[in-house]
Amino acid sequence: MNSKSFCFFYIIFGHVATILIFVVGFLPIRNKNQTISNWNDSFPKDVNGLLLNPEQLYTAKLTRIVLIVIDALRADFILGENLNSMPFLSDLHRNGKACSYLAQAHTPTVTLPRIKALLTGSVPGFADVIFNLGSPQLDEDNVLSQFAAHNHKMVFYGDDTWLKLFPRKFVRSEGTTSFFVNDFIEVDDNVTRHLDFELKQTDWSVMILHYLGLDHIGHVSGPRSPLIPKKLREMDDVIKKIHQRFSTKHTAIIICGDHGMSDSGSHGGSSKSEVEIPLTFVMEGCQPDSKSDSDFSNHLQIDLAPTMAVLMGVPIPSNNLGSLLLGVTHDFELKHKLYAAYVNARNIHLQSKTNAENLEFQRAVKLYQDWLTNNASGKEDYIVNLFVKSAAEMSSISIKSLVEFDLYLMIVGIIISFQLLVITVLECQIVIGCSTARPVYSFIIGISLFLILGHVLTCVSIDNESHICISGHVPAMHCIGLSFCIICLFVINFQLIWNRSHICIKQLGSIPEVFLLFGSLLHAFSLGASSFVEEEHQTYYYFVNTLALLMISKSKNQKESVISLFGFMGLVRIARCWNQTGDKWINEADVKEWLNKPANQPYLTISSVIGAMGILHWIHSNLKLGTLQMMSTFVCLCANLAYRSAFGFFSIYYPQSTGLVEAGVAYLSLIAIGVSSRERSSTFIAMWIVLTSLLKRPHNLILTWIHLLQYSLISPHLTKQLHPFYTNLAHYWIGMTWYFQEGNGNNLARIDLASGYVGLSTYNVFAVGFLLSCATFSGPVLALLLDIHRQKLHSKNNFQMYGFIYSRMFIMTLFFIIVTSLRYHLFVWTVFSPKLLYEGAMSIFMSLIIILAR
Amino acid sequence: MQSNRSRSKSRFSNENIGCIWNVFLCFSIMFWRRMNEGNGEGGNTFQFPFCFSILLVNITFSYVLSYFRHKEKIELTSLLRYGLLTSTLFHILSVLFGAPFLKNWDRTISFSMLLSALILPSVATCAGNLGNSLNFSCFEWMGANELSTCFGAWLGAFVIPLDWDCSWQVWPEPVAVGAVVGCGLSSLLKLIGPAITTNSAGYKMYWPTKYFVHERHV
Repeated sequence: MNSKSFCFFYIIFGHVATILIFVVGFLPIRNKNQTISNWNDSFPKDVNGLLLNPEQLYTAKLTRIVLIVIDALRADFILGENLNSMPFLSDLHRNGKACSYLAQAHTPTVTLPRIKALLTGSVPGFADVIFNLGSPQLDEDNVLSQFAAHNHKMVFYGDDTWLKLFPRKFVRSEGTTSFFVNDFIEVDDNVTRHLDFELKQTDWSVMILHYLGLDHIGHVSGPRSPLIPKKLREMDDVIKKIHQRFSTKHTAIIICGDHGMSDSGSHGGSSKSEVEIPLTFVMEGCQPDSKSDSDFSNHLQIDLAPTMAVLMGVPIPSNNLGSLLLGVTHDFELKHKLYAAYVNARNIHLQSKTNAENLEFQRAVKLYQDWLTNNASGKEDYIVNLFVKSAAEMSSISIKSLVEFDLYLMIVGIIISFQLLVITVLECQIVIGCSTARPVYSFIIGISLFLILGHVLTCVSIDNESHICISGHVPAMHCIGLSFCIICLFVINFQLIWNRSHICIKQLGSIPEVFLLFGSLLHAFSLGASSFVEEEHQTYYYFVNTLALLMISKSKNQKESVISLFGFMGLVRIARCWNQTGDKWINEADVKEWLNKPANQPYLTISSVIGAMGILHWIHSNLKLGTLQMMSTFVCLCANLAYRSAFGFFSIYYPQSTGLVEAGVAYLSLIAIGVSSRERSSTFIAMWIVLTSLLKRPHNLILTWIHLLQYSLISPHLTKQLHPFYTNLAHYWIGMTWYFQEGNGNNLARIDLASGYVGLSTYNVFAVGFLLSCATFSGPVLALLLDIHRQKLHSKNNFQMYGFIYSRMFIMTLFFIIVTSLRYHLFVWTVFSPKLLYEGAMSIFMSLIIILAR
Repeated sequence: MQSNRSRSKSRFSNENIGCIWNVFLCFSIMFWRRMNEGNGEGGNTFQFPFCFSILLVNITFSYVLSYFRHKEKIELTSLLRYGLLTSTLFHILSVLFGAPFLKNWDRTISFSMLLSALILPSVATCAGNLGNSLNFSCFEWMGANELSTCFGAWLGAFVIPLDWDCSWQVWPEPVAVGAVVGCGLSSLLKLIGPAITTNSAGYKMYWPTKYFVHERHV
């Protein structure tokens, strides 16, 4: 291995390493406690030797609970000056039969995470969102499973998210879907119509109603719509109906919103109107917050979980971070109240080691102990308040540590990635030329000593909060190993840059080349705006067409280039209507929607067959394949069509089949193509096209052919007009347009999970992951392979891939900086983090392919 | 006396008259847009009648200018044909760049007419003879003014995807404003350029290839 290719591999390796370093710093993985609270373990039987009897102290206060979740019920709809918007409820407030608390929901203010938080009492981090992508079922400890374990019968009507979260938990249930946002009335009537029946039944003790109408009104006409007071009065009637049936002595009706509503009517962010929700309890013996007491007026949405558990006398969920709402326990016997507060605070206290030194909790336990021995000290309220206060304090520390970024590690990642970028730019010698010098060893040793010193000093000054400093929460070997690797990377990078330190600036190239260079800079900088991340596909479509236009103006043979490049632009224009993606124009009509209508199935069939034939023809005429390989390709495409017929996508008769055999045949012929390989790059391209067309949705089959045609039109001009580095860059852009044209986007919901399970009968995490990345990144990788093939055809020895690596590296480095500086941005979890994951996955996958296919 | 006359001649060359006209036109378009902002039309200044009248005004201007000042005057039919052909070309180009093809096609047409109208005076004043300039080597006859008009339009499109949901973010409003601003600015620069720089080499100095030398490197 010569030094050139050593440098190349080192850059790729370093790139992957920096991505891992940065992501570890940015997304700390929380160790989730999977234990389920039970009657034996979660109740303390003594306080420092003083015996307690949980069975007497922790009893159910209610026999029945009705939880009404009103989607997007913002706090100021029913609290404060708008109290009269629900007349019956405000009467109850005045008679002291109901009390409301203003509570804060956590971000993201979207229904599913909020329901989870409401029931588990915990705050899911972003890493959880990723790990939960596959399994919607909630297996963390939560109030509903505690109810179920204590033989409470539950009924549910409303948003069907709950049924996915808790399958088979409800005795009777009906879900409504929230897809039709324009439906304001029926979606709620479908819930309310069951009410009369359920109110006559006596077997259930927990009823949950989830109303979606208010959210729909908000999305369509905003929070100031005249429909909203009407809807609130409808909700008021529901409460009245339930209240008249049950006396409030042993029944509580809890009304809460899952999230608020912003002033434009949507939700998902973290503005005040989106996070503030009401928690209303219709029950006897509750006490609202006194206005003067500021300590307890900041409640959280998750406080509902322990409160419900205490009211129903079931154990508090093990991951709960909410603290008991004291106003609700106003009428409790003193010892019950104290014990409940103690159990709640102790549960939070045990969750994290950092809570061990919490003085308030220790003092509260001490006072509780005193109270138990003396039994009448008159300080009960003070002790209870102290417990709740310490619980809130400990939980806020825990919640903060969930979103705590490892800033040191992130900055280290940025610096290394910046060094690698400099090395790449120097190595590809495109704008900057350089000559190499010999390494100076004393310099290297000096740098490494300096780095070690700096590392130790930083660790001491930031209190060992980072993953690479030795502290309690990461094993010491792990810390030392990681620090050592990072310092090695630093030193090698320093040396590589030092070797090339005699730099001269070269002149820029022709106009398309200048545009490629500045366009890639412009694109990378545009990722700092959340809308440009959401609409990134528009940037690529626009840039690629501009590139083609500039190349027309610079080409020598005008007529021919005008025809082929205008053809290219036209095909890009057609392909961009294939799958709408992004956020702003996602609802525009597209070809995908049209082809997938049941009435248009014949067209889907025809288009897929044409697509398969076109792909076969393109492979035949553009790649150097043997006869056996061509036959295998043909068999594979036929098996592909058969596989789709087996799933009923096509309007032709096909015998009953699970599709496994067809996919198996396709995979086998894929292997046959690989085994009978003559020319490596052609074989790779053929295999890749055939594999990804198997994984894609049927409507994208013809799109693959369109992509190949686009490539045939533009590639001679790329070769003729551009320097190899810029040709790389142009291929990368074209690959990215293909990526977006296939319907991918920067939203985690755009991943087509079905493509990971093609031809698999059992779940295998590696197989699914591999197939999923193949299907998702099929466009950029295809462009990469085509570029390798093109370079092998045209220049045998002068082979370079730095354009791809440069663009990946530049985007990653800049995006690291953007994410670090915007880490408290409103959209960091909804826009920037998914984008970071996509980019990281793409970089790692493409590095793998570059190493394999080179 | 002699020098005075020659200076006055260069000051009122056809190109400079075209530039003055462009600056005047662009300023009045922007002024008109600003005045109309308040009356609740939702930012759609560049409607079909507006753009069409601008095209007609510019055709008339070019015709009058060539009638009085050119040695061989441009025929009205060739100007009309030129306007039609460039509008079609810009229409195709803007559709290729992602403008709506079926949905809001009238906006695309009015934008392409506006663009061809903005380009017309400078082409007519420089080229003299429009008959030969319609082969596809479009960049050959494109001077600084035309290029910066197109560049302004190109830049204007970047505002559209932002999620501000403003009324002026609707196609073709920002793109048209970009084109008008680009045209006006480049004309203004061409007019006051000789006053700023000592080198008054006309539009050549804004020609981009001066900055980017065509040289292949190894």
